[in-house]
Amino acid sequence: MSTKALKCETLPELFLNGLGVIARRHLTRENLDSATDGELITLTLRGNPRAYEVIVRKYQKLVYNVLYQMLQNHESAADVTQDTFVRAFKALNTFRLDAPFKPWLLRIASNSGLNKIREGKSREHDSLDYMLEENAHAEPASGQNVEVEVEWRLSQSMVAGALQKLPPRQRHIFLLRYQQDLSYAEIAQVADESEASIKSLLFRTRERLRKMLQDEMQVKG
Amino acid sequence: MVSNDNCNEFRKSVDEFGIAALSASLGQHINDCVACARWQEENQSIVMMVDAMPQFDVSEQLTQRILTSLPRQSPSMISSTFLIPAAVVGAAALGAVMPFESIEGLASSAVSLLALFMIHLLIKSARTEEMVA
Repeated sequence: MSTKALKCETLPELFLNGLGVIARRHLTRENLDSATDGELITLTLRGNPRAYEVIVRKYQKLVYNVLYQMLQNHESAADVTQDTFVRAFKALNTFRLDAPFKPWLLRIASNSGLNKIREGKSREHDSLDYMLEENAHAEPASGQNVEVEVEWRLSQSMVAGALQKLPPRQRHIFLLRYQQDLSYAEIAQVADESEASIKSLLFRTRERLRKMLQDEMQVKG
Repeated sequence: MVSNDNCNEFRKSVDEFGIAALSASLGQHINDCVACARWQEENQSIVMMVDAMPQFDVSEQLTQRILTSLPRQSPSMISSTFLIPAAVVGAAALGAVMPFESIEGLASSAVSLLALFMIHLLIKSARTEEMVA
């Protein structure tokens, strides 16, 4: 979908272009799936309900998984995902159309998730076994070899356990980088910090995790 | 424990730019330093395992729950809802200071105000379109 550039100088021109905009609002429904975030937001602001549905479907998995890693519970993650999209919808008219949407949305999700943790309202954590059982992508590449698979699962369980021992904010930023593949710039926007401090925090977190895993390996002999 | 300055420089550079972007001398360091080779291997394992951690699909039930919980008004309408009571108060004040002689006069004024409001909406739509473009 493309948006035609308009150069209106007079009120009658603006009036006629307004009529054209209303016509296009109805013509573009079929093309929503290929629209950019900026176009979808503009259509949502003009009252097109399908446009926001496309945004929800595009980002719900990311938001849900980020929140699940923060809250470690499916019910809480679902509640806060819903809350995130409602908050984002209500605040959509404050969003700058030339800015990237993903960090903006994740910032709302992060704040909601951290608030939930602070309020202590997150329900019981799901067990590590449950997390790994449900994980379709946790299989090693050479899944035929049972020994390798057992070793892989043990190591992954240790990493997941070590991550849970990190402070929520540190874990959140670490997972945004290494699980969700966000760039340093995107994480800086989500966390409202400089890229340099994000890089430094990630370095410290990795060192801390490495140390925790080394200690655990020594204990297990 | 980082053994010397070379190790420090190596680790900072790997962290900043990745191992593929290292200079020849720093790249050689990993072959000469067992501690840094192990450090690099452990880091890669952590990153690989985190990358493979659970990623859950979202159920259609949750999608529908999100969509049905959204306000019915568009966000721009939500932000301007305070204008409606303000308009009612304004119209009442206008009616009080300018009594209309007949019901036709009142209706005529109402239609004029409505037409002005429609024109305002159309102009606003065109301006939004310009901003997006």
